[in-house]
Amino acid sequence: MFRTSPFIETSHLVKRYGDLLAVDDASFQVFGGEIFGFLGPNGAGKTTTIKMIVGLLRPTSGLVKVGGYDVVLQPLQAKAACGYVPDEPNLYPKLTGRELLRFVGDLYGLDRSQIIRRSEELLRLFGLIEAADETLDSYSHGMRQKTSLAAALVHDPKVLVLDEPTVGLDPRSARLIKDILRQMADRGAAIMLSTHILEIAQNMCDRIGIINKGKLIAVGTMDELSKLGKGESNLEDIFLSLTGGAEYAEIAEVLK
Amino acid sequence: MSLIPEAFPEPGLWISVWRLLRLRILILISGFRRAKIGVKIRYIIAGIFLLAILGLFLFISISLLDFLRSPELIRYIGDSNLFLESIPTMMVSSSALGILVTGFGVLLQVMYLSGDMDFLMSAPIPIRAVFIAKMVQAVLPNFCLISAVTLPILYGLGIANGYSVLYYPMVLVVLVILSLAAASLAGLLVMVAARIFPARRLAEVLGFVVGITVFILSQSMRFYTFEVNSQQVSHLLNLAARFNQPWSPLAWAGQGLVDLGKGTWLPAIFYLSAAILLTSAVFYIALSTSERLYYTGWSSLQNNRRRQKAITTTRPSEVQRREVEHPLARLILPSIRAILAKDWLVYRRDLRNLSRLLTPLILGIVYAVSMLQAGGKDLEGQGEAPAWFMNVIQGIVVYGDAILALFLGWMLIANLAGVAFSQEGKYYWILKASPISSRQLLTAKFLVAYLPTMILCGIYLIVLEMIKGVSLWPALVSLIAVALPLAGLTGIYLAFGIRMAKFDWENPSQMGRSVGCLGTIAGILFLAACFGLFIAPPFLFGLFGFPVFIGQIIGLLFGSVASLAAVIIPRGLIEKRVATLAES
Repeated sequence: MFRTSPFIETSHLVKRYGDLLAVDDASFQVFGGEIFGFLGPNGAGKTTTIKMIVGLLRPTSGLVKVGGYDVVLQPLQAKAACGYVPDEPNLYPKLTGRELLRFVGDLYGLDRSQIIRRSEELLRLFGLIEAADETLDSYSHGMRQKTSLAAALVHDPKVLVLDEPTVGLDPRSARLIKDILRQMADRGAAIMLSTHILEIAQNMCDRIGIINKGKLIAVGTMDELSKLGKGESNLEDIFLSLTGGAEYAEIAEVLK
Repeated sequence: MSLIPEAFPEPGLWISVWRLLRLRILILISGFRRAKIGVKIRYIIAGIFLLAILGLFLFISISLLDFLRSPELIRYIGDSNLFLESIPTMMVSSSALGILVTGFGVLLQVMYLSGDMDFLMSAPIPIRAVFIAKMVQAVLPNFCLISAVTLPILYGLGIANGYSVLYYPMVLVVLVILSLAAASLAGLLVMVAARIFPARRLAEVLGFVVGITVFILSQSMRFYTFEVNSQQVSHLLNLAARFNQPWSPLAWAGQGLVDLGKGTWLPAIFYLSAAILLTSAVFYIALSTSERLYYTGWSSLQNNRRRQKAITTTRPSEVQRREVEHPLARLILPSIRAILAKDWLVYRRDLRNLSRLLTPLILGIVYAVSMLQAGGKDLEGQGEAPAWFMNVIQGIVVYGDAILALFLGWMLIANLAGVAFSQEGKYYWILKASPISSRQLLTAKFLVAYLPTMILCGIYLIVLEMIKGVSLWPALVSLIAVALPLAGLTGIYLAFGIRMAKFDWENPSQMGRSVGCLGTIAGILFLAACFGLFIAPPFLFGLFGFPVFIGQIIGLLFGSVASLAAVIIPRGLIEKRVATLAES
């Protein structure tokens, strides 16, 4: 892994909705060539942070840079460098898979031949070629999730941000996505993904950030995180220890 | 060994139905409690209004039925007794038919599209209870609406004829039983339809076809002329009496009610028992068949599997050449072009959107035909009117086509520009996360609304003027006087639409008001003022004896400046807002 200047950089990032502090002073960096796992309990502020990184939400204060560009001041350059896969694959239901990829390619200013070549490659790669001319409302959740990922990859981004990318995917597709992400990182792209499946985070991610109640409580490699905890060696124990495992123990007690 | 510590007490059918319906009632009450005060007041006013309507219907029915039995009318149209006795049959039959037709769409929604069937079917309650509850839930609103019309008429008939007291509760019983039977038949039809077509598509097509048909029928009524004379009224009453055929099961219920009202007990018991037994049997058979078919997954299997499409192997270079060589394509940025193509595709493919666009077109055609039927030619003769007045009227007639085209354009733009952003809905993230500026997005959305409107209104105007034989120069002035104000209107409605943009809808009907009340008023005022700027100078020049041509040129100048201002100024005011859309 090579360290360059950070591809994603947040500094004292804050997002406030009225009285609710959704993200509280989050600062972290993601470098080219690494996969950064972003973990946290439900409602911790993962999706809000991710939405600020990809330019879907304006931060209340603080700085977000993607590909070296300030997302607030230079949004077009930052967005051009980035691919985004949301947690819910909401895609235009009346477009076909092929039309969607070409539409996204046009939005990112690719030339026609490039768009056609890339979209055909991606449709083939994700096993969507046979359904490519069907409208997206006839796709299953998994197919839409794969189309969403394909759309994020059309312009071959240097930064890829994924919110729960493996939800609703069969094991084969989940494996395919993991392989693609690893290959992209090996080619120098920065990958940031949020997930609830700690096994994926532990096996795939080079570094992990844990957010709880809007605060980034830990960032580091697995070794660094285990030092922060009580010496636990697996991510699940570290996560529960850092985010308050007591409540989980209580739930387990109730279910007995 | 059983995993369940105690035997599960199986709940009864009707207890389960009640539990499910109670849940719906609780959701309704909770929704009312949590609603904003304005919404609550609206609900209360609607309730009072509905009660007032019911009272009014009852009053009208009694008066009308009394009137039908008056000797003066009998002298005019003949004996109306046969007609009066066929009213229960007509009412009961039309209620059942109404429930069958309207129940189909609602049942399709609650059984296939509401998403709670799996949850309910997996709960430890009888499947039949789920079906009955769904049926009642689906049919109840329509039943209430239909009863709001039929009950006052039937009760009015009872009061006017002095029917027996047993008649009144029996009317309600008969209506309920027939409605349930009709609903169960509708449920069975839904099963069959869902076996052939995907449920969501079926709902879209149904909504589109019903909406457009009702609209066309309502508008085409203006082409019919009704003549009221004794012969026609008598013929109409006899036609209604023909519903009362003894072989028709629907007539049994009606005839039974009349006999019950008159106190002829034996035929009343016979007819009503036959009707109730038959409808109960229909209800039971249709319900049990539906639930069996649903449970066995019969309707989930579609037999219209699309043919496996051959993998398209279009050579990229060919497609690229074809698209890039298109001369118009080079004028527009690829990102803007992509949004245009996407939006027009979505409009064309989504029938829910298409119906909103077809409605103005139908209205435009109906008005054009009405205008042409009414003459549509230049005024002939002056009468005693002064010459200057005739000149003004003549001018208005010349620009009448343009006013009609503007009206059509106004309706189209309200539907296209007003919801240009809202229609993105939960898919807006795709545009927001992509590297296109607010300015590009505004330009794209402006063109999405304006180009088709301009083309359609232009063709509409040219056709009208060709039919009327308008000469070239006034036709050209009209065309410009329509095209430019519509551009200004697009700018205004786009801005208001952004102000009221809503992205969290599930169905396009939930998009809300496209431009709001203020936007609508602003748009109409602008359109009138801007069109006035185009046509006022030539009028005034003609009135004071100056060359009309110069007046037309000045009108074009004034109107163009006003239109351009309406495109540019709202855009500048709203541009910053676009950058923060869908962030709340």
